[in-house]
Amino acid sequence: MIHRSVMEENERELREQTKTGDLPPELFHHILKKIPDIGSFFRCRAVCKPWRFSTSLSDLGPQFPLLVKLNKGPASTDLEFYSIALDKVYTIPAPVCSGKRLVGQTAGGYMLACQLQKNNVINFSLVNPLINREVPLPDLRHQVYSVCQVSWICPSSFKCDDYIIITCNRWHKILAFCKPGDERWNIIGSMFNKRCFYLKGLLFMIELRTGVTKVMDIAYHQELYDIPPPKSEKSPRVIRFLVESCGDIFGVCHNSCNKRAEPQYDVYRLEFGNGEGHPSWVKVRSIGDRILFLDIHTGHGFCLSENNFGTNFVRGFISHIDNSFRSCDFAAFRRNSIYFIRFLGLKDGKVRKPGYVHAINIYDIENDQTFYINSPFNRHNFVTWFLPTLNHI
Amino acid sequence: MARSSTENMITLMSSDGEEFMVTEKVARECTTIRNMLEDDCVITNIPLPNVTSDILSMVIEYCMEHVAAAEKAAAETAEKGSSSAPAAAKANKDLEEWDKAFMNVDVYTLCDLILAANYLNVSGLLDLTIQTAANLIKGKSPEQIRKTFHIQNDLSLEEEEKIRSQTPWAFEKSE
Repeated sequence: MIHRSVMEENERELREQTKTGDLPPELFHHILKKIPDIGSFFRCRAVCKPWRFSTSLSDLGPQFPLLVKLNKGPASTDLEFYSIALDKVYTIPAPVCSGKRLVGQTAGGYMLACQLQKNNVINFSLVNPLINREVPLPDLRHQVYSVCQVSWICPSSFKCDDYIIITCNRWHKILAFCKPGDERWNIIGSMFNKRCFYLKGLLFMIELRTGVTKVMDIAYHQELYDIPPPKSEKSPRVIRFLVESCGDIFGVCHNSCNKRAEPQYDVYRLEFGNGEGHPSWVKVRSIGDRILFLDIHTGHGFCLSENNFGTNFVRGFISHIDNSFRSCDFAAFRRNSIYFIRFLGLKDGKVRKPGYVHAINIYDIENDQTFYINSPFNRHNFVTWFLPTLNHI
Repeated sequence: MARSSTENMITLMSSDGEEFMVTEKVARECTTIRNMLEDDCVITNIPLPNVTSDILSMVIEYCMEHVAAAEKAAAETAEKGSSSAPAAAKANKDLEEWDKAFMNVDVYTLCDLILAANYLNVSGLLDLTIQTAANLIKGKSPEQIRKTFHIQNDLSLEEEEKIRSQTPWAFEKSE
């Protein structure tokens, strides 16, 4: 509700607009849902009583992705986030993360935290740094040398009651899954030389050698079908990323990841062939209004579009207002593009030095051009994408 | 087709008694009016006691522009058999530009338009106005938001302190 001020009182005499500022709370909810910057959201709720007490944390609308800086060792109490859209750094105290190792991938506002204990037991939990909340997960007993060898296979649509799937150990990679509240992890077996993705109850396992994708129903532990690699004149192309958007599944291939050369991307859509024939990858020249966000280091990615900003990310919001971003608000981001984080090897002349630095690029699919984005973080740090949500558990 | 010349005209009456003659097609952009017309097809005079004449004229302007844009797009599709993507993209962009210029109003008018768009249920206009209000909030401090929207701070010092202490990082001054 907007209150009448002295200025407005004067104006009221000129124009008959007594109700000018009195926005009913339900309309204010709609305004709040359209604020894609988490800082503005909290500031907006500190304006006046009605704006505070007629709203709640669940009014947070779809948010622009942030970059989160990850420590090489255990996380400190403060986490740093960078908003590309606003060119602003937020330092957020998250005591819940303190001392734990944050696995690179993030989904649904959560990060996976783990701590290696004695006797090869790893403690796991999900943490939401924005509301300082933690969801405990079962311990895993497995021979690992360091928790760096753990990665989380998470879909961008992840909700807290979804399966949590991890791979563990670099050489004899095992795949394990559980749900919050489970007593223990279910171990599926060796994932050696495979890359895994999880979308909507289906596990996609891509064999790096052949490029063949095996699709498995995780709940029934049942193999459904094989998808041949995308056709190409040269050797079979291997899908490196699997991303879901508005019901479509996209596969992304890229050349060169650690080389200095600028990577180029090919995007394929998974076609199921209407029940006839086998599912296959079909190359697309454009992803339209969509924007892909990929992290080459963790193999994690997600897709934003004006459409799925509205529908997939905000559940249970029934209204005649289309709760999506208009293209003018997307101005901060380039459409039909891929935003990606990659890590470059360090070189001293021609000699390879240990260590990596991160680089954030945009690949414009239509014009086949690559741009750089400056991040305020030390380039020696790991960074990854983070989509803020304040969902309660 | 001569349909447009024989199209039904509807009279909309604002709260201050001014009358606006619009085509039925334009009036139907307002879902509230569309529902009234569907319930009672002989109705030609609709009083709108919640909308003043200056706001109603803006709502009508918005609806006319959007109806005209939709008709133009439909005519082009019919002419060429299929719509050409670049032309459609340009038309969309023009309409976006028009919307942007249309939203160049003070906050009082903006709030009135939000209320009118909500009452008349013009989803496009409601979306546009809500988005414009959200854009005015983005990146501002609470004090700047109050100034923009002419809001008095009715939170007590303790309340404000408590709110700020929950997420202090959101209230840090940007350099």
